[in-house]
Amino acid sequence: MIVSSLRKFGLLSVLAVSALALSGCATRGDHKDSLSEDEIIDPLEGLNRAVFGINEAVDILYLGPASTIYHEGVPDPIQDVVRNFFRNLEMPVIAMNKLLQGNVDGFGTAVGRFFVNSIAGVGGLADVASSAGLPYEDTDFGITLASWGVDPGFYVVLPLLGPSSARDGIGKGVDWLADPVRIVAYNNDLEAGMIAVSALRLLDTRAGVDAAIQDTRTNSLDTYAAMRSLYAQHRAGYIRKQLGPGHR
Amino acid sequence: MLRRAGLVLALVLGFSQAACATPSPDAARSLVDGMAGEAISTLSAPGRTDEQIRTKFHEILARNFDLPGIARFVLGRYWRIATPEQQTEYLKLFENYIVGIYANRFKNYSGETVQVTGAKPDGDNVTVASTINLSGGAQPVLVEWKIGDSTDGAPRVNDVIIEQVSMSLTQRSEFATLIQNNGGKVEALLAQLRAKTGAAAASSPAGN
Repeated sequence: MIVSSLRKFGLLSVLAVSALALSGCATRGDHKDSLSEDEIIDPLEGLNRAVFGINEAVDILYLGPASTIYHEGVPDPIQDVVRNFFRNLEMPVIAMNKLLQGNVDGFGTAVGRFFVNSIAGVGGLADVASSAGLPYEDTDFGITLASWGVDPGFYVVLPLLGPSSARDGIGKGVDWLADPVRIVAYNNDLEAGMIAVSALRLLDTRAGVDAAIQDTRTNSLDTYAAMRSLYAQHRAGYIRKQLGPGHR
Repeated sequence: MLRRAGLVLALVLGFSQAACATPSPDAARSLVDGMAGEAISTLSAPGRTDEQIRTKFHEILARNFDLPGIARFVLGRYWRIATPEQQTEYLKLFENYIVGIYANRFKNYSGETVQVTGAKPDGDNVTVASTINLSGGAQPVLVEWKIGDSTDGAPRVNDVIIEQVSMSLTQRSEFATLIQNNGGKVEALLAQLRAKTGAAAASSPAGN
């Protein structure tokens, strides 16, 4: 008797639970709360907001206008050549990261690109590798750490470079230190050249995100919080694209 | 006993499926196609004032987006602590805020086209993938539309994901931060929304 009523109770509760679970979609507003979020914790919000404020000022006064002048004033074919050139110089450090990520194909592509574009592409000015089946794919040490299971950690706004995370900020430092191209350049008194390349890359990158930045400034109520969320989601999406689902 | 349970289960299943059917991929696709076509013809029509475009956009969004559902999702846990009066005002402000955002985004329309590239079921939703082809040979923008059945049973847009970034999640994070930094008061958000939408409404007739 007890057993049978227990069983009945068990069955009823299963039914009740499944009814609840199934009717969950009727109250949509609530169930969407459980959507997985690519959120990022921000214990340094005060400091980050201060750096963000300075970055915004620099961007509004100098970087933004300079990137617009670059983007609109320099003919497109020349911008392409410049982009090909700095992307080619990224290849050695990208190849190293691909290898550390255990991505042998990616490593091969990066090495292949570096040789093809350096030789056939006249020192990287032309991107002949892309049409030869070796497409450009960016990566960095932050993504390498992600591939080893390191979470982004907390949010960091870097001076001039903008939104990042504890992990990706460290990643940027490691990439800079380990970059063979930079080491060779610095050993041959080509610091100024490397800085010029970095400056051009910054202008090119900034011009590419201009629409998103203007849109966020115009439409958000708290630009800092909106940019933080945009960064976290975009970065997580990019890492998923490179490493597959489950990474962030 | 078991048979009866089976019957109840079947009823529960049948009922809840009727209550929250996922829209068909085709319906979701044509929703996006229709919306894009309507928006583009509005924007390309000669001699429209900003105010007319805004009114038309409001109508398109109200019809195709689940604005109350998005508004509640974006307010997150603060929806429950808001008073009924705050909720009512918030829903209205949020609607105007969203309309203002889209009106701003399309203000500089210059011949961009939307191409639907696919639709696939995704939980309760259907995700419609599209690319926005920009003029001047720039890289096309990948935009995904999450479409679900809203409370009245019609398929509507729940979220717009631009290059992997969800508009609803971004706004939710932004609103939560704003409220948290103002002592957890929903009123602080309402004040900001009032200022933003008031300014948008006042500035648009003067625009151009």
